[in-house]
Amino acid sequence: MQSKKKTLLRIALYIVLAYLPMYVLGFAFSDKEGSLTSALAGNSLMLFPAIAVIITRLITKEGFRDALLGTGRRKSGKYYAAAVIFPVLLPLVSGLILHLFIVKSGSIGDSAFCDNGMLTTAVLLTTPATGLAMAAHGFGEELGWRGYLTPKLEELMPTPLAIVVTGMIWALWHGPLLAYGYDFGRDYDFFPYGGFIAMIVMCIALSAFLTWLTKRTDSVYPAALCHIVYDMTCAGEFTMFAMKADGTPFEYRVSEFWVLILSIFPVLIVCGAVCIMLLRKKRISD
Amino acid sequence: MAGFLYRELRLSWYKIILFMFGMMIYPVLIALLMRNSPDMKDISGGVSALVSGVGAVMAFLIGGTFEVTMFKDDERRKWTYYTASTPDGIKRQIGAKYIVTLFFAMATVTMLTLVNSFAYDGNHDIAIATSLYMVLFYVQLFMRSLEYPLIVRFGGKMGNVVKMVPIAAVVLGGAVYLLFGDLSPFADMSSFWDRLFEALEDSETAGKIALGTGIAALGITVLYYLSYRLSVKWYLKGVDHYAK
Repeated sequence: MQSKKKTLLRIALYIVLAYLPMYVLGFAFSDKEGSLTSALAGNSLMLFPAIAVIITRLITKEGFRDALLGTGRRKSGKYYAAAVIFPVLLPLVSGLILHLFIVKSGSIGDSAFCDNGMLTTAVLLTTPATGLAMAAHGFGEELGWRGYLTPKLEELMPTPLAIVVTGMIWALWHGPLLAYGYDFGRDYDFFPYGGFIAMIVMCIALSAFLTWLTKRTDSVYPAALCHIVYDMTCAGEFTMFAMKADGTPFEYRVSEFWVLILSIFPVLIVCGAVCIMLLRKKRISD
Repeated sequence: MAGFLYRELRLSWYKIILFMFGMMIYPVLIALLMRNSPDMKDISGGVSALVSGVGAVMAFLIGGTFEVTMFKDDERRKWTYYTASTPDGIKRQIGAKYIVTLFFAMATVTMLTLVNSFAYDGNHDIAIATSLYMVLFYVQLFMRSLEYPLIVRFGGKMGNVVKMVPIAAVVLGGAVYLLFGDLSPFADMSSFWDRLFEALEDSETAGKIALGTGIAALGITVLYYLSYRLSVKWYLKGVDHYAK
């Protein structure tokens, strides 16, 4: 009982420390469009969960023994590869879904992705390369969510539920941005609540995959790499599918909000569900 | 591996902090200058990226010094034989140094991005130079990929001499080009940068550069791994060259 109370207090302390800078900076520098007016604030947001973990561990005197800071178990290479390949492949499948079911007129051949082979190859190569160079940003978030919050929640509940709760807390952490249209825009009927729900679903699915990577390797680095590459491919690769070669967007059957949800979410949710099942199976076999 | 990483950080934490501060002096000074000074009106767009680039190059050079000293600090025969006697000791010892180097370079990119953002907040005419930092990150890794196996194989002192041979060859090649090569692109230096930025604005040229950067980044990542494997192989051969 004492131990559970201690864990809850630690989780609460971490959440307060992670949320505080995000909400203060997010509202103080909001451009009311889902982004920030300060580039410095925008670029530093991802580092705050890591700072929160460090402060929490120092205050609670937990130390860093279980912080998953090692490079992982033996033969973790394939998971590092998966951490890069998954976010690079995801927009390709999402692009196919987009053009098969959502684009009203025009074919995938008209998209910016298929128009210029050289540029497409360049984007496919430079995105993971930039991800590696910028991996400290991914590490900033993953040290907090997958490296601290999920393991702490697992002390209180089963792994799948811990993944869901982590996903929800992680999604709501983006609150100040979501309230003004971050990621999903403002052009839908039930703004901004739809954006919050969509973000929660996305974060739960992604949380499952990132937790699977973390658990398989006993390290937060694959998740950090995957996180930052995912952020970049969604902004780069997927946009190339959503635009024609001349830079104008395609005509869709649904609003832009649903374009993102219908094209990206199916793959994410399937991957997330598979990862939760794999983690459950492992737990049962343990 | 975690133990060797911990050892590396435990022994070098004060150096890491000092070098982090030291290497950020130039970028921060440049950012302060670009952010506020009314004299910097002409510094915008591509030119501002070049100015930020000068600070970034200095940061990576200073950071590189730390990375190299990290290897030289462990040049003791007793330590080398002890590491070799532990299970996978050589792999872990060398691996930890390569990983710390990688992390240090990543941290440099992050700090430079934050400093650049700080400058951009004060003056929106200057460029966000993240792509340039990415290129410098891979140049850094490329240099270490070549340098580390030589330091491991020939020891710190001798390794530096060996490293100077290809550098001297490149400098000599450059001198020969300056004497006998085609210098027409540099004929009018006053418009050199304008012409360069104009060429970069062409989507075809920009695409080619991006593709080249992507291929180079991939190649350097592979090279970095191969360099690690080579360093592991040469680790014990370098013992005879240690000064102590």
